[in-house]
Amino acid sequence: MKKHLFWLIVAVVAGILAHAVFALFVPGWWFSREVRQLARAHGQNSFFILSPEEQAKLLPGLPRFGVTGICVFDVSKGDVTFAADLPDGFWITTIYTDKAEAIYSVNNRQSGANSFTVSLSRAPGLIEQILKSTEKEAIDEIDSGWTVTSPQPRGLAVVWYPTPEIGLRSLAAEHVARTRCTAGHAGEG
Amino acid sequence: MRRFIWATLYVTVGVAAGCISAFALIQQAGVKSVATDEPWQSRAAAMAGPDAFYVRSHYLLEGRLPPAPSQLGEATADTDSDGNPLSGGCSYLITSMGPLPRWWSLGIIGSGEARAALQSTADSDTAVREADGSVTITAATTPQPGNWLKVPAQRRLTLIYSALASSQRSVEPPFTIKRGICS
Repeated sequence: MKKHLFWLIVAVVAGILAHAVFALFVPGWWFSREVRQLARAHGQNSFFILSPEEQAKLLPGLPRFGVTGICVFDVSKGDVTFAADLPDGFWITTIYTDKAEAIYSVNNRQSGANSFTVSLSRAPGLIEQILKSTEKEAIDEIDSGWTVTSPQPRGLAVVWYPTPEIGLRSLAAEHVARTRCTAGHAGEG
Repeated sequence: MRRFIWATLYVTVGVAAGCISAFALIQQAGVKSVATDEPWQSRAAAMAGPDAFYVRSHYLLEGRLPPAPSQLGEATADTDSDGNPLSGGCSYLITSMGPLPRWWSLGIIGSGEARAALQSTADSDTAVREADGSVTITAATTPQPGNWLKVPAQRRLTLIYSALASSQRSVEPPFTIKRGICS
Protein backbone atom coordinates (compact mmCIF):
# COMPACT_ATOMS: atom_id res chain seq x y z
CA MET A 1 0.00 0.00 0.00
CA LYS A 2 2.77 2.41 1.05
CA LYS A 3 4.73 1.53 -2.08
CA HIS A 4 1.75 2.37 -4.30
CA LEU A 5 1.12 5.63 -2.43
CA PHE A 6 4.72 6.67 -3.06
CA TRP A 7 4.48 5.98 -6.79
CA LEU A 8 1.08 7.69 -6.94
CA ILE A 9 2.70 10.85 -5.53
CA VAL A 10 5.51 10.46 -8.10
CA ALA A 11 2.86 10.18 -10.85
CA VAL A 12 1.06 13.33 -9.63
CA VAL A 13 4.34 15.30 -9.49
CA ALA A 14 5.26 14.04 -12.99
CA GLY A 15 1.80 15.08 -14.20
CA ILE A 16 2.11 18.60 -12.77
CA LEU A 17 5.57 18.99 -14.31
CA ALA A 18 4.41 17.66 -17.68
CA HIS A 19 1.39 20.01 -17.60
CA ALA A 20 3.60 23.03 -16.92
CA VAL A 21 6.23 22.06 -19.51
CA PHE A 22 3.57 21.39 -22.17
CA ALA A 23 1.70 24.66 -21.54
CA LEU A 24 4.88 26.76 -21.34
CA PHE A 25 6.90 25.38 -24.22
CA VAL A 26 4.94 23.24 -26.71
CA PRO A 27 2.62 25.93 -28.23
CA GLY A 28 5.49 28.41 -28.61
CA TRP A 29 7.77 25.79 -30.14
CA TRP A 30 4.99 24.64 -32.49
CA PHE A 31 4.27 28.17 -33.75
CA SER A 32 7.94 29.15 -34.03
CA ARG A 33 8.28 26.28 -36.55
CA GLU A 34 5.71 28.08 -38.73
CA VAL A 35 7.57 31.37 -38.31
CA ARG A 36 10.90 29.73 -39.19
CA GLN A 37 9.28 28.18 -42.28
CA LEU A 38 8.06 31.63 -43.39
CA ALA A 39 11.52 33.11 -42.75
CA ARG A 40 13.16 30.31 -44.78
CA ALA A 41 10.73 30.77 -47.68
CA HIS A 42 10.76 34.58 -47.82
CA GLY A 43 13.77 35.76 -45.86
CA GLN A 44 14.20 37.48 -42.52
CA ASN A 45 13.89 41.25 -42.02
CA SER A 46 12.24 41.61 -45.40
CA PHE A 47 8.64 42.38 -46.27
CA PHE A 48 6.62 40.05 -48.49
CA ILE A 49 3.01 39.44 -49.53
CA LEU A 50 1.43 36.16 -48.43
CA SER A 51 -0.23 33.93 -50.99
CA PRO A 52 -3.99 33.37 -50.38
CA GLU A 53 -3.13 29.85 -49.13
CA GLU A 54 -0.52 31.11 -46.66
CA GLN A 55 -2.95 33.79 -45.50
CA ALA A 56 -5.76 31.24 -45.00
CA LYS A 57 -3.40 29.20 -42.82
CA LEU A 58 -2.06 32.08 -40.72
CA LEU A 59 -5.21 34.22 -40.52
CA PRO A 60 -8.15 31.94 -41.38
CA GLY A 61 -10.82 34.41 -40.26
CA LEU A 62 -9.94 36.94 -42.93
CA PRO A 63 -11.30 36.85 -46.50
CA ARG A 64 -8.89 35.60 -49.14
CA PHE A 65 -9.51 38.66 -51.31
CA GLY A 66 -7.56 40.75 -48.84
CA VAL A 67 -3.85 41.43 -49.02
CA THR A 68 -1.66 40.36 -46.12
CA GLY A 69 1.98 41.41 -45.99
CA ILE A 70 4.43 40.15 -43.39
CA CYS A 71 7.90 40.86 -42.13
CA VAL A 72 9.55 38.18 -40.01
CA PHE A 73 11.87 40.37 -37.97
CA ASP A 74 14.80 39.49 -35.78
CA VAL A 75 15.96 42.17 -33.36
CA SER A 76 18.53 39.99 -31.58
CA LYS A 77 21.42 41.57 -33.54
CA GLY A 78 20.08 45.12 -33.66
CA ASP A 79 17.11 47.31 -34.49
CA VAL A 80 14.83 46.71 -37.44
CA THR A 81 12.99 49.47 -39.28
CA PHE A 82 9.50 48.80 -40.56
CA ALA A 83 8.44 51.49 -43.07
CA ALA A 84 4.82 51.01 -44.12
CA ASP A 85 3.53 52.45 -47.38
CA LEU A 86 -0.14 51.53 -47.73
CA PRO A 87 -2.96 52.47 -50.09
CA ASP A 88 -5.91 54.65 -49.09
CA GLY A 89 -8.68 52.85 -47.25
CA PHE A 90 -9.05 50.58 -44.30
CA TRP A 91 -5.99 48.64 -43.12
CA ILE A 92 -4.59 47.22 -39.90
CA THR A 93 -0.93 46.84 -38.98
CA THR A 94 -0.11 44.61 -36.01
CA ILE A 95 3.23 43.59 -34.56
CA TYR A 96 3.36 40.22 -32.82
CA THR A 97 6.15 38.44 -30.99
CA ASP A 98 6.88 34.91 -32.23
CA LYS A 99 4.75 33.75 -29.25
CA ALA A 100 1.76 35.48 -30.96
CA GLU A 101 1.60 38.23 -28.35
CA ALA A 102 0.42 41.43 -30.00
CA ILE A 103 2.71 44.25 -28.88
CA TYR A 104 1.51 46.99 -31.24
CA SER A 105 -1.51 47.55 -33.43
CA VAL A 106 -2.74 50.49 -35.45
CA ASN A 107 -5.37 51.02 -38.15
CA ASN A 108 -5.70 53.69 -40.83
CA ARG A 109 -7.87 55.95 -38.65
CA GLN A 110 -5.58 55.74 -35.63
CA SER A 111 -2.49 56.32 -37.74
CA GLY A 112 -3.86 59.26 -39.72
CA ALA A 113 -1.31 58.53 -42.47
CA ASN A 114 -0.77 55.68 -44.91
CA SER A 115 3.00 55.95 -44.68
CA PHE A 116 4.71 55.62 -41.34
CA THR A 117 7.85 54.16 -39.82
CA VAL A 118 8.15 51.98 -36.76
CA SER A 119 11.50 51.24 -35.16
CA LEU A 120 11.62 47.73 -33.72
CA SER A 121 14.10 46.92 -31.00
CA ARG A 122 14.69 44.32 -28.30
CA ALA A 123 13.22 45.19 -24.92
CA PRO A 124 16.00 45.50 -22.35
CA GLY A 125 16.25 42.78 -19.74
CA LEU A 126 15.80 43.53 -16.05
CA ILE A 127 19.54 43.75 -15.31
CA GLU A 128 20.09 45.98 -18.35
CA GLN A 129 17.27 48.29 -17.19
CA ILE A 130 18.80 48.62 -13.73
CA LEU A 131 22.27 49.31 -15.18
CA LYS A 132 20.94 51.93 -17.59
CA SER A 133 18.84 53.69 -14.98
CA THR A 134 21.90 54.01 -12.76
CA GLU A 135 24.00 55.28 -15.66
CA LYS A 136 21.19 57.67 -16.72
CA GLU A 137 21.42 56.43 -20.30
CA ALA A 138 17.85 55.37 -20.75
CA ILE A 139 16.43 58.80 -21.61
CA ASP A 140 18.97 59.42 -24.39
CA GLU A 141 17.92 56.28 -26.21
CA ILE A 142 14.20 57.00 -26.45
CA ASP A 143 13.36 57.49 -30.13
CA SER A 144 11.31 60.50 -31.16
CA GLY A 145 9.38 58.41 -33.72
CA TRP A 146 7.28 55.29 -33.19
CA THR A 147 9.31 52.74 -31.34
CA VAL A 148 8.21 49.23 -30.44
CA THR A 149 10.26 47.11 -28.09
CA SER A 150 9.82 43.36 -28.34
CA PRO A 151 10.33 41.06 -25.37
CA GLN A 152 11.20 38.27 -27.83
CA PRO A 153 14.07 38.47 -30.36
CA ARG A 154 11.80 37.32 -33.19
CA GLY A 155 8.39 38.45 -34.30
CA LEU A 156 6.02 39.26 -37.11
CA ALA A 157 4.90 42.63 -38.42
CA VAL A 158 1.61 42.01 -40.20
CA VAL A 159 -0.20 44.37 -42.56
CA TRP A 160 -3.75 43.49 -43.61
CA TYR A 161 -5.59 45.40 -46.31
CA PRO A 162 -9.05 44.08 -47.31
CA THR A 163 -10.10 44.44 -50.94
CA PRO A 164 -13.72 44.17 -52.12
CA GLU A 165 -13.02 41.76 -54.98
CA ILE A 166 -10.37 39.36 -56.21
CA GLY A 167 -9.61 41.53 -59.27
CA LEU A 168 -8.33 44.33 -57.05
CA ARG A 169 -6.06 42.07 -55.03
CA SER A 170 -3.04 42.29 -57.31
CA LEU A 171 -3.30 46.09 -57.56
CA ALA A 172 -3.53 46.45 -53.79
CA ALA A 173 -0.73 43.90 -53.30
CA GLU A 174 1.52 45.94 -55.60
CA HIS A 175 1.01 49.01 -53.41
CA VAL A 176 1.29 47.20 -50.08
CA ALA A 177 4.55 45.58 -51.33
CA ARG A 178 6.18 49.03 -51.27
CA THR A 179 6.41 48.59 -47.51
CA ARG A 180 9.97 47.98 -46.36
CA CYS A 181 11.44 46.06 -43.48
CA THR A 182 15.17 46.44 -43.06
CA ALA A 183 17.80 45.74 -40.44
CA GLY A 184 19.12 48.92 -38.88
CA HIS A 185 17.76 51.96 -37.11
CA ALA A 186 15.29 54.30 -38.87
CA GLY A 187 17.85 57.10 -38.96
CA GLU A 188 20.61 54.99 -40.54
CA GLY A 189 21.65 54.66 -44.06
CA MET B 1 12.78 -5.38 -12.29
CA ARG B 2 9.17 -5.26 -11.08
CA ARG B 3 9.86 -1.99 -9.27
CA PHE B 4 11.28 -0.49 -12.47
CA ILE B 5 8.17 -1.49 -14.42
CA TRP B 6 5.90 0.07 -11.77
CA ALA B 7 7.93 3.27 -11.73
CA THR B 8 7.87 3.58 -15.51
CA LEU B 9 4.15 2.91 -15.58
CA TYR B 10 3.29 5.50 -12.93
CA VAL B 11 5.54 8.19 -14.44
CA THR B 12 4.23 7.51 -17.96
CA VAL B 13 0.62 7.77 -16.79
CA GLY B 14 1.43 10.95 -14.86
CA VAL B 15 3.21 12.58 -17.83
CA ALA B 16 0.40 11.59 -20.23
CA ALA B 17 -2.27 12.95 -17.86
CA GLY B 18 -0.30 16.21 -17.47
CA CYS B 19 0.05 16.70 -21.24
CA ILE B 20 -3.59 15.83 -21.96
CA SER B 21 -4.87 18.15 -19.22
CA ALA B 22 -2.70 21.01 -20.54
CA PHE B 23 -3.96 20.42 -24.10
CA ALA B 24 -7.60 20.27 -22.92
CA LEU B 25 -7.19 23.46 -20.88
CA ILE B 26 -5.63 25.28 -23.85
CA GLN B 27 -8.53 24.22 -26.10
CA GLN B 28 -11.22 25.24 -23.61
CA ALA B 29 -9.74 28.29 -21.89
CA GLY B 30 -11.62 31.51 -22.42
CA VAL B 31 -14.28 30.04 -24.70
CA LYS B 32 -17.52 31.83 -23.96
CA SER B 33 -20.91 31.85 -25.63
CA VAL B 34 -21.49 35.34 -26.98
CA ALA B 35 -25.28 35.10 -26.48
CA THR B 36 -27.38 32.64 -24.52
CA ASP B 37 -29.62 31.53 -27.40
CA GLU B 38 -27.08 31.59 -30.24
CA PRO B 39 -24.37 29.06 -31.17
CA TRP B 40 -21.53 31.57 -31.49
CA GLN B 41 -18.55 31.21 -29.18
CA SER B 42 -15.62 33.54 -28.79
CA ARG B 43 -12.25 33.80 -27.05
CA ALA B 44 -12.02 37.54 -27.73
CA ALA B 45 -13.01 38.64 -24.22
CA ALA B 46 -10.43 36.33 -22.63
CA MET B 47 -7.52 37.67 -24.70
CA ALA B 48 -6.81 40.32 -22.07
CA GLY B 49 -7.86 38.44 -18.93
CA PRO B 50 -6.20 35.87 -16.67
CA ASP B 51 -6.77 33.17 -19.33
CA ALA B 52 -4.81 35.14 -21.95
CA PHE B 53 -1.80 32.81 -21.76
CA TYR B 54 -3.88 29.70 -22.50
CA VAL B 55 -5.98 31.50 -25.14
CA ARG B 56 -2.82 32.59 -26.95
CA SER B 57 -1.51 29.03 -26.69
CA HIS B 58 -4.66 27.82 -28.46
CA TYR B 59 -3.82 29.99 -31.47
CA LEU B 60 -0.16 28.95 -31.35
CA LEU B 61 -1.06 25.25 -31.41
CA GLU B 62 -3.25 25.90 -34.45
CA GLY B 63 -0.28 27.54 -36.17
CA ARG B 64 -2.14 30.81 -36.64
CA LEU B 65 -2.15 34.36 -35.35
CA PRO B 66 -4.89 35.62 -33.02
CA PRO B 67 -6.96 38.53 -34.31
CA ALA B 68 -5.35 41.92 -33.67
CA PRO B 69 -6.61 42.86 -30.19
CA SER B 70 -8.83 45.97 -30.01
CA GLN B 71 -8.95 45.92 -33.81
CA LEU B 72 -10.70 42.69 -34.79
CA GLY B 73 -12.92 40.26 -32.93
CA GLU B 74 -13.58 36.67 -33.85
CA ALA B 75 -16.31 34.12 -33.06
CA THR B 76 -16.95 30.60 -34.28
CA ALA B 77 -20.00 28.33 -34.50
CA ASP B 78 -19.95 24.53 -34.72
CA THR B 79 -23.73 24.15 -34.47
CA ASP B 80 -26.77 25.83 -36.00
CA SER B 81 -29.15 27.98 -33.94
CA ASP B 82 -31.08 24.85 -32.88
CA GLY B 83 -27.94 23.16 -31.55
CA ASN B 84 -27.43 20.64 -34.38
CA PRO B 85 -23.79 20.18 -35.48
CA LEU B 86 -22.98 21.93 -38.76
CA SER B 87 -22.49 19.37 -41.50
CA GLY B 88 -21.45 19.47 -45.15
CA GLY B 89 -24.47 17.29 -45.92
CA CYS B 90 -26.88 20.14 -45.21
CA SER B 91 -27.49 23.63 -46.50
CA TYR B 92 -27.86 26.55 -44.08
CA LEU B 93 -29.57 29.91 -44.22
CA ILE B 94 -27.52 32.51 -42.38
CA THR B 95 -29.48 35.69 -41.74
CA SER B 96 -28.43 38.93 -40.12
CA MET B 97 -30.70 39.97 -37.26
CA GLY B 98 -29.48 43.43 -36.36
CA PRO B 99 -27.11 46.20 -37.32
CA LEU B 100 -23.88 45.03 -38.90
CA PRO B 101 -20.46 46.48 -38.04
CA ARG B 102 -18.53 48.67 -40.48
CA TRP B 103 -16.52 45.63 -41.59
CA TRP B 104 -17.36 41.97 -41.05
CA SER B 105 -16.52 38.65 -42.66
CA LEU B 106 -18.10 35.22 -42.49
CA GLY B 107 -16.16 32.16 -43.60
CA ILE B 108 -16.40 28.40 -43.52
CA ILE B 109 -13.59 26.11 -42.52
CA GLY B 110 -13.89 22.46 -43.31
CA SER B 111 -13.41 20.99 -39.85
CA GLY B 112 -13.11 21.90 -36.20
CA GLU B 113 -9.61 23.18 -36.81
CA ALA B 114 -9.25 26.80 -37.77
CA ARG B 115 -6.09 26.00 -39.75
CA ALA B 116 -8.02 23.78 -42.18
CA ALA B 117 -8.24 25.28 -45.65
CA LEU B 118 -10.77 28.11 -45.82
CA GLN B 119 -13.47 27.24 -48.31
CA SER B 120 -15.08 30.60 -48.93
CA THR B 121 -16.01 33.88 -47.27
CA ALA B 122 -18.69 36.53 -47.52
CA ASP B 123 -17.96 39.95 -46.13
CA SER B 124 -19.28 43.49 -45.84
CA ASP B 125 -17.64 44.45 -49.15
CA THR B 126 -18.97 41.56 -51.23
CA ALA B 127 -22.33 40.59 -49.67
CA VAL B 128 -25.50 41.68 -51.47
CA ARG B 129 -27.93 43.33 -49.04
CA GLU B 130 -31.71 43.08 -48.97
CA ALA B 131 -33.84 46.20 -49.40
CA ASP B 132 -34.06 46.62 -45.61
CA GLY B 133 -30.27 46.45 -45.25
CA SER B 134 -30.18 42.90 -43.86
CA VAL B 135 -27.95 40.18 -45.27
CA THR B 136 -28.99 36.61 -46.10
CA ILE B 137 -26.32 34.05 -46.99
CA THR B 138 -26.91 30.48 -48.14
CA ALA B 139 -24.23 27.98 -47.18
CA ALA B 140 -24.43 24.96 -49.48
CA THR B 141 -22.25 22.64 -51.54
CA THR B 142 -23.77 23.84 -54.85
CA PRO B 143 -24.00 27.46 -56.08
CA GLN B 144 -27.04 29.38 -54.81
CA PRO B 145 -28.63 32.64 -55.95
CA GLY B 146 -27.64 35.67 -53.89
CA ASN B 147 -24.90 35.38 -51.29
CA TRP B 148 -23.37 31.91 -51.31
CA LEU B 149 -20.82 30.27 -49.05
CA LYS B 150 -19.38 27.06 -50.47
CA VAL B 151 -19.66 24.19 -48.01
CA PRO B 152 -17.20 21.27 -48.07
CA ALA B 153 -19.15 18.07 -48.83
CA GLN B 154 -19.94 15.51 -46.08
CA ARG B 155 -17.73 16.93 -43.40
CA ARG B 156 -18.12 18.67 -40.07
CA LEU B 157 -17.65 22.37 -40.54
CA THR B 158 -17.15 25.54 -38.56
CA LEU B 159 -18.39 29.04 -39.31
CA ILE B 160 -15.88 31.75 -38.46
CA TYR B 161 -16.99 35.35 -38.02
CA SER B 162 -14.59 38.28 -37.90
CA ALA B 163 -15.53 41.91 -37.39
CA LEU B 164 -14.10 45.22 -36.41
CA ALA B 165 -13.95 45.33 -32.63
CA SER B 166 -16.36 47.77 -31.09
CA SER B 167 -15.42 49.71 -27.97
CA GLN B 168 -14.93 47.28 -25.06
CA ARG B 169 -17.76 45.03 -26.28
CA SER B 170 -17.28 41.34 -26.95
CA VAL B 171 -17.92 40.12 -30.47
CA GLU B 172 -21.58 39.32 -31.02
CA PRO B 173 -22.14 37.94 -34.52
CA PRO B 174 -25.55 39.27 -35.58
CA PHE B 175 -26.36 36.10 -37.57
CA THR B 176 -28.78 33.24 -37.00
CA ILE B 177 -28.02 29.87 -38.61
CA LYS B 178 -31.02 27.82 -39.76
CA ARG B 179 -30.67 24.36 -41.25
CA GLY B 180 -32.13 23.91 -44.73
CA ILE B 181 -32.22 20.73 -46.79
CA CYS B 182 -30.03 17.77 -45.82
CA SER B 183 -28.98 15.15 -48.34
